[in-house]
This record gives sequence, structure tokens and C-alpha cells, in this order.
Amino acid sequence: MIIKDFKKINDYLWEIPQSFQGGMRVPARVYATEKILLASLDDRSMAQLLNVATLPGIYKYALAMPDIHEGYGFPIGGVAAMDAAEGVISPGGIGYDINCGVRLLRSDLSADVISSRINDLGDRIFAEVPSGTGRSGILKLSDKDLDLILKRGARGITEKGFGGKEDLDFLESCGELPDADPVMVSSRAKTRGQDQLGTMGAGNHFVEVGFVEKIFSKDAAEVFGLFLGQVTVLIHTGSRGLGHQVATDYIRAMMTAMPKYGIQIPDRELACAPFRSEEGQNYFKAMSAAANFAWANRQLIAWEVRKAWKDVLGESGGDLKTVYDVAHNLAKIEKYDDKELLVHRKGATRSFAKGNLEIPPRYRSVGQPVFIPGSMGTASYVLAGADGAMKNTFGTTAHGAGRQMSRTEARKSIEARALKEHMEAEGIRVFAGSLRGVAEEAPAAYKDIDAVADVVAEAGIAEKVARLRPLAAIKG
Amino acid sequence: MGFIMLSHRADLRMRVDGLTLAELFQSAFDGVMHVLKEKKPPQEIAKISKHRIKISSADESALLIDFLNEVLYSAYSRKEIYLSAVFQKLSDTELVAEIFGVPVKDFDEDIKAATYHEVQIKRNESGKLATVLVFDI
Repeated sequence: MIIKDFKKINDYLWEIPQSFQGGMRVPARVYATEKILLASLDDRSMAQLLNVATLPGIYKYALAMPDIHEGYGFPIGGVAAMDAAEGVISPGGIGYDINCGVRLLRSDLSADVISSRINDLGDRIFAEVPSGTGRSGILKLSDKDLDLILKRGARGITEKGFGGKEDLDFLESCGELPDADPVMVSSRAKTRGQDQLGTMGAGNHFVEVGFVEKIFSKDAAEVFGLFLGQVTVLIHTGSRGLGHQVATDYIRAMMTAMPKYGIQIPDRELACAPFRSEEGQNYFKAMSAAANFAWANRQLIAWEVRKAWKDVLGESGGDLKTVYDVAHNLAKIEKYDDKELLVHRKGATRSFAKGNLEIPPRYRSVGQPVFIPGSMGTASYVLAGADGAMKNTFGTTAHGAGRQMSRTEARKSIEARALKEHMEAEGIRVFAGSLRGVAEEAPAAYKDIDAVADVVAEAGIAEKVARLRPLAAIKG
Repeated sequence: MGFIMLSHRADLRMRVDGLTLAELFQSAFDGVMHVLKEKKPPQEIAKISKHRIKISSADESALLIDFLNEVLYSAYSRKEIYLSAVFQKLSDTELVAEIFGVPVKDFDEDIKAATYHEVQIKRNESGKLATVLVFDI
């Protein structure tokens, strides 16, 4: 595919017409500058987006956000809204890390107050939040307690004493999807999840202590409780092995079910079933349960971070309050054009504009908080949902910087120890279980986060509120 | 070595091959174990565990992915790395295998799943069965 295949709608939006490739049911649209679009043509992300456009029941467009990059089945940064009555649900459109997402905590302190304690704080968080590929969490859940978490999500874990209403009121969907049914989660998935609550995992997951470096919208920042210089904590992780197993189980089940419904797809990883079918509903209930597990996971990690914060800073540190918690791998039923749609977001963030009743009342005057983390060592953005998203992207915006270099390339070309030293010279401490992981997640491996934030702002699908700069990156 | 790593922007892409279906499956198994733990722990006979895998799938390509996901489930849920796989039965749609492993404290990589994305087992120009595999990491 070449850039001439795209119709330029404006400087930030490009379209491939439905007629471009046989089987496409709708056009494909990409939110990007010409530079970002050109870079995305180097991998298979656009071919994957066109495949998404062939799925039964897809409404209006297959969409890609500016952080698009090659995935499997769906591209990362892909969005597809399916007619809930006639369309399909595709586990590949959510991904293996169901409800991978981001939570932002805010403190009452300025960065200069904690600058001498940042090493201790990073060390303590690294010790309190299990990370990497083999460490268990602080809880070994009984079958009954795990079912409670799967059913009630973040509320379930707060009922065990790990947080409270002051958190739940500020989570997307209050951290609890009502359609969750633990019965639909296999015993294998439950086995994998039993000791993983409150763990970060590996890869691009992290906890990051940072501060508000710049404010773009004073009013929105004030509503979100953010001020210049304020210390913040970002938490990025998902549903761990439990979610991976739910996806594995149901993709396999849907491959078996597809012939029954006469569904043909260009890529097996897009395996799907009609949303209203038994298979579709079973997956939706299991996915919702895994999403609840992820919200409970980030809730417990927030509790662990608060413990570390208190251990290091004592009472003078004050509280770490939840700003918001967003999912970026999930399917949800939402209404657009008076139609009920099942919006699949794979590496894409919900971006509801002001006034939406799904938004906590405190934020309703500005829109929901949206978090777009950059790579380790660069900035992250806080944005607010915008009207353009409601009109054009099924209430969706980007989720991250998006990779521009493979992990292998990053390991070959970046010397982790030198990078760590360089970052520390820039005032960013790195606490990591493996140097290999540091190289893979290096800033050079990712697109320019500022460019991604500029695109979503210029396209009107989110409004910039604040930029965060890291002080300590804690990862597996 | 019947596996080779290829480039992928965010995840892991691997090409595997073998003269027979069993060799191809063995190559994929070896490739996954290489990613999970490059440096194998010492093999203490007393600690070697054995697990049986029995699965059926729509075709040989799906069977390979389903087999790898069975192996991944076993590895992560038991915290084990596998040293060898013995295929007792292997057809286009059915597999019975025994895998032999040892406990580990952690893994080098967190493979979320083997995906069906690019799998298509075909005989290549050199007469070997080969396919590309994409893993979510």
C-alpha cells in the first residue's frame, strides 16, 4: 500500500475507500499526519486495518488512531464498532491483555519536595509492586474470592480493604462491568489469575512517578485536581495471565463456531461470532469478568504504591488520590447515531466528551480524563474527551506513543546500561528487573508522543490538559 | 535450529521449519522455549516433570497454535520450562504429546499467546514444511 491509495480528508485524517479491496464492508480511516501515515506503511498495520473492515456488522468505518502499529488480527490503535444486533464480537479486537489500561494518581506535593527521596521511593515501589514474569502477588485468592473479583472488579478488592469509594467513583465504569460472569471464565484462566492480583507483569507495563511539567488547559487541569509541578503516579498494566487465557480459550472456541454462522474472515486471528449468539455472549461475559480482574489489579497496585509512598514519606506525604482509570483493550456497548454498537478498542482509549453521564459528575463539565503514556523516559499526556470523538471516532482516541522499532532492533541498537545512565543524567531513575527490558522500552523505540498528542488534539478527538514528565520508571 | 526470529514492530515473529510435521512442531516448541528461557536451568533428573497434552483442531496449522498455547499454559501455570517434547500421535488434526520440564523461578519473556495470525503450514522450495508464527508479547 502506498500513500496515493489514501484519500486525504484533512491534514489529520486519511481514508481508504471500501472499493479498494474485495470484502471490505466499510472504508478504513486513519487519524495521522502524513509523516505518521508514511511511517505506518512500513509494517502490516494497514493491511490488518483493511481486514478489520471486512468483519460482519462493522458500522461506518474501520478506524486507526495515530499510534497505530502492526499487531496480529487487529492493528494496535484499531477501533471497530459493530452493530450490536447484527454484528460480531471478535476477541482479537480486544486482544490477549483484556482491559490493559492506565490509572493516574495525584499527590498534594510538588516535585521539588520529594526530589531527595525519589531513589528511596522508586526502590520501595519496586519492592512493593511485584513485576517481571515469575513473581506472585501478595494475595493467593480462594476460588470464592476470585469469583468475587471477577464479578465485582475494583469494588470486590476494595471490600477486602484495599481502597474505597474515593477510588471507585473515579474509574471508567466504576471498575466493574455488570455483564461479568465468572462461570464463563475457564478453570485454566482462574488458575493463572489466582496469585497474580496486584502484579505488574513485564513488557511495556510500568509504574511511573512523575510530575506535571506543563498545563495546556488550566480549567480542565483544575477540575482533574492537577497543578504545575505536582507529583503524580501512572500505573499501566492489565488482566495478566487470566485475561490472556480467556482470550486464548475464546478465540479457539470461535474458530470452531464460525462455520455454523457462515462467517468467513481473511485472518484467523479475527475469529468472531455474532454478538447475540451463545458463543458471542459467553465471550462477552468472560471478557467483562477479565476486565473486572484488571481493574481490581490496578486497584491493588495503587494500594501497594500508596503503601510505598507512606513508608518513604510518612504522614507528610499526604494521600495519593485517583484521578481516573482508563481501559485501552476492551469492547463496550455504546450508542451512536441512535444505534446500539459494540465498540472494539484495541490499543485505543475511550474519550467521552463533556456532559456524558458515564463520566464522574466532578469531571462532567470538561470530559473524561484520557491518559496517553509515552515511552519510558519521555512525556505522558493527560487529555480530556472531546466532541469530535463522539461525532467521528465512536468516542475514542489514542492510547500511547506506538512503537516504531521492533523489540529485537531495540535490543540490538540500544545499550541498556548507557541508556539508563543517560536517563539518570536527565533526572529519570530507572528501576527494572532486567536491562533487556530497559532496551526494549527505550524512548527511541517509540514514536514521538508529542506528535501523537498533537494529532488527537488537532483532529478534535481529545483536548490536551497537561503533560507529565517522569522522575522514576519502575518496570519488570 | 529449526526456528529463526523475524522482525515485528511490537510482538514476536518467528519462522519455523522441519522435514516432517513432527520436526516442524518440535522446531516451534524449541523456539518458544528459547524465548521463554534462553539459558536453561541445570537438569536434575529428580526434578524433571512430565505432562501429557492431547488436543484436536480443525487443521495442522490450528493444531500447531493450539499445541503451543497448551505448552504456554502449562509453563506459566506450573512455572516450568520444558526441555523436550515427544509426539506419540501427530496427524493433521490430532496430537498426543508428552513434555518434560524443570521448575524455574521466572521467565525471560512473557508470551501472552501464540496467535493464528500468519500461521499457514506449507512445503517450501527446499522441501521442508514451514510457517511463520506471531506471538503476542
